[in-house]
Amino acid sequence: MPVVQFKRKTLEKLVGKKLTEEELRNEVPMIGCDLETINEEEVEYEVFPDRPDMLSTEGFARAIKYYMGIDKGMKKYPLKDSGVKLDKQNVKARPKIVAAIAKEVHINDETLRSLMQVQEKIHKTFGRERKKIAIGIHDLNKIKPPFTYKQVNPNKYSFTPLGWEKELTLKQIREKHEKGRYADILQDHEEWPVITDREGYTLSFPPVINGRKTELTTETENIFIDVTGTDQEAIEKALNIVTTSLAERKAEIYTVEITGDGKKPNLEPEKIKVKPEYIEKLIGEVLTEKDIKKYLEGMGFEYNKGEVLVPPYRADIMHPIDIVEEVAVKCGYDKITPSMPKVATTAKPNKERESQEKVKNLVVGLGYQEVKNPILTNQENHFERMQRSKDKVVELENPLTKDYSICRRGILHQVLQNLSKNQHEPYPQKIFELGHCLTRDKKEELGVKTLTKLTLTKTDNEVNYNEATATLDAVLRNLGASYELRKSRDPSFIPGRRASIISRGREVGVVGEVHPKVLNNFGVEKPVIAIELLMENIIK
Amino acid sequence: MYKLTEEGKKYLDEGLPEKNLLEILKKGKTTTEELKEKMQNPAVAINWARKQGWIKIKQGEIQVDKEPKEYPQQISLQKISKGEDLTKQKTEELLKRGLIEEIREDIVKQAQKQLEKEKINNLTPELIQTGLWKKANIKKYNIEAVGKKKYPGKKHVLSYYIEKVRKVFLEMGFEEEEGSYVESSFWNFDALYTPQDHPAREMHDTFFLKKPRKTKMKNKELVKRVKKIHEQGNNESKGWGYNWSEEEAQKLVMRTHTTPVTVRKLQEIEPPAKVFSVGRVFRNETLDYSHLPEFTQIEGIVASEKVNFKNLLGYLKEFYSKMGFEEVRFRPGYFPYTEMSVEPEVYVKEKDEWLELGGAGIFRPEVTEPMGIKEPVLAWGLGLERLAMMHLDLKDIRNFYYKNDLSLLREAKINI
Repeated sequence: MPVVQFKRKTLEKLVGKKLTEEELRNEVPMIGCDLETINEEEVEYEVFPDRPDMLSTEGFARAIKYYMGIDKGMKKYPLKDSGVKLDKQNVKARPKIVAAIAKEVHINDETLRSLMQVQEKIHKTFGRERKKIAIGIHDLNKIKPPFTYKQVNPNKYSFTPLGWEKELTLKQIREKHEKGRYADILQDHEEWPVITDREGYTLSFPPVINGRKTELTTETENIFIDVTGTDQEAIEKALNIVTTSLAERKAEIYTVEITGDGKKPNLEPEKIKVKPEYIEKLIGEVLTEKDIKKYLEGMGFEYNKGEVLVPPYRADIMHPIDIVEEVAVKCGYDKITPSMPKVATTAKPNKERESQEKVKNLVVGLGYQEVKNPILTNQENHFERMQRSKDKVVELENPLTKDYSICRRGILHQVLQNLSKNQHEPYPQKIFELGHCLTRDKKEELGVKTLTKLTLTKTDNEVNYNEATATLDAVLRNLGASYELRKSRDPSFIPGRRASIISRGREVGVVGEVHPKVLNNFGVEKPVIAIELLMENIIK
Repeated sequence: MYKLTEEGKKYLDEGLPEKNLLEILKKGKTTTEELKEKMQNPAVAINWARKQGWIKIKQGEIQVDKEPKEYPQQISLQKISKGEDLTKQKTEELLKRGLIEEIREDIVKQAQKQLEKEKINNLTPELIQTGLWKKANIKKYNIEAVGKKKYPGKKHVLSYYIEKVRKVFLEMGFEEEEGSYVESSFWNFDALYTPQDHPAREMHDTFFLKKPRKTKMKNKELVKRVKKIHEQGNNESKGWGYNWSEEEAQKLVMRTHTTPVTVRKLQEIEPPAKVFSVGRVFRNETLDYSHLPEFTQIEGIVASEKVNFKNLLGYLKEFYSKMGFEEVRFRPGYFPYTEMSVEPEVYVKEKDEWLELGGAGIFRPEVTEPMGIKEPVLAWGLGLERLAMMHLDLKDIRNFYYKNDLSLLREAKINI
């Protein structure tokens, strides 16, 4: 989730009152954001991804003003027609574009910082790393309308991008420019987008980089904003967020006419129908229609007889349920009293869990300490160190490290690792794990089968096969499972001191003394007896 | 020296047969046949009682002739059992009847030998059997010394927590459900109305599978409904407005939460219903002192026409109070699949701080409708390891799963 920093002074200036630490710490998060850090000068919040309008300082301040009751009702943002046109051509790689003009912006360090932040954070989250949305901001006085949005040959077309002295082709920008990686978004397309002005100057190569000449400075008064992307609604919302943020600083907003789409931005509120009974029923507090109207106005919405007007910068209202949340937030989550309903149902424990608990209690009774290992493990420990061969293993596509790249099919290798790390602890050491393992199985819905396995080990200066079989017998006898021991070839164990456990005609595990080679492989210095048992056939 | 034989011990506990016979006869006369039902060994009893002249038999009926004041042999048995001596005659009687036997000479000798020491270290079977312990001087210990360390078999500390959580939900009438660690993207994300370009679905957050890579969705109708809700919403909702890809939904992942367990369950339940699940989940996160790529989630849903947001807060408060946290507060949260969304926090007295423990909310209608549920569904996914960390005062969360430090597990208190 995006984290945004604000200067406390700037925020206070925009809100129009002093904000105490207590307010910033405990009240502001009740709008729906998490406080990250706070000091004398700055405050940092994590903004929820459904609220891109709170990514700008101005938008954040606007939300505070509503929540604290300083503002109410829907803001009207005056919109003038600039008469400027943008010729939107068929750009296959990135078909959508909207634009706007803001005058009297009077850029200073503070506004520049805020603009950069909202741009960057929208790119990252709401804009899906510029795939869905990319915003370009230019000094309007240095360019000449009308503008054209077109696709060009990236090998031939060149211009001087921001941060460079000379012209580069679009392909060269991809390779050489520090922002070039964003051109990966376009890589499947033969032609790439650019925005040019009347004189053929390239303002922007979206979503990668702007032209050098039109960079904003503290001299800039008027700006041109373009938003490109793949989703019309998303880019329009992004434009609304940027332009209304500027309007909060008294900038004048002008529309730009886009071929085929009309004048943008469109700051008309959207309408959504919500029944007041629906709101009351879902929140559970007594709410009259008057209350609902008051609360919604308190969040910057308008309400009239079951119809809600949504402010143009809000990108998160897609269902009446989202309006319910607005009312609940304005009520205050801390003011809604928790209450337990009477929903009569019958408890039903999971049978498998219950029998697993019985097995655990039995093994604990034999003096074993339970351990819990990760489900993810690696091939080297699981198979190579165990001298076993790999079979039907569930493998990850994108493991974080090689150490955790497959799902375990068995637990013994992990338990041996546990023993190796605990050699300074008093002996004897008797440990066990009862847990899930996974294996590939085409018959299953997901192609993967879950196995429940029990692994027990004991290590001490002296341990032997007979003790292992006695323990096994104690477990199986008490679980009412008949079994036989047969010759095993498991290379993890010592020949002549290992046996397959057969129950109801099926091999369900192995018992024996762990092979000294395996002990060496794991760095275990005392002999180990072990039992591995597949529980499916045993507990029913 | 003598001790009771097995028969002697039996008569000591149950009474001599002749004594038992007299007790029966005091209530009235009886026949041999009837006696068989009322006592063991009537023949032995009749034989002994007749010898003593206590009973007579007339026309097949047994009755008291002369009631004894006491039963000397019963007293003798008691004396022997307490290690007291008998007169020679009484000893003979019991020996003859096979109710006592002489203690083996070697045992007596051993006991006498043990007594030669000034102080006895250990009480022995010989001393106890022969009664010679009475003459023994048992060495005194330093009784204030603390016992030597022992390690009982124990469950993992997290298991005790899981058991407690299960108990709490079962007490509240929840049904327990289990799911699979491997899930399709469909159930992990799409069914939860998480758009396919959502950051959580990217490689750096979620583990995708290479083998096997995909699954086929069998319920075509459900797939269609979920596709539609993503693309265009329903009557009331706008949807996300993009082209939903079934292929993307087929990709297998290690489940990132236990919510797919309860969402799958939505297909079968008929509200009112309450379901919970406790299980391992996976996130593609770097392992460090405060992050685990594998951890446990406590999942729950309540589906009923009657429930609302107040009740969601009620369930969360009730759960934490049963887990021992009296103070809970609620802050707004955000999840793509719930609205309203809330982050519960509990107050930790010892540390004087609020601890965030997961997320909760009411499932969006875009989640429940395709599953055929019209009622509100309260839902939560809460963390477990952090509760246990506090209990053990652990700073490093890697102690779970990645360390298995025996000293920690052996010493962990189970007053949970």
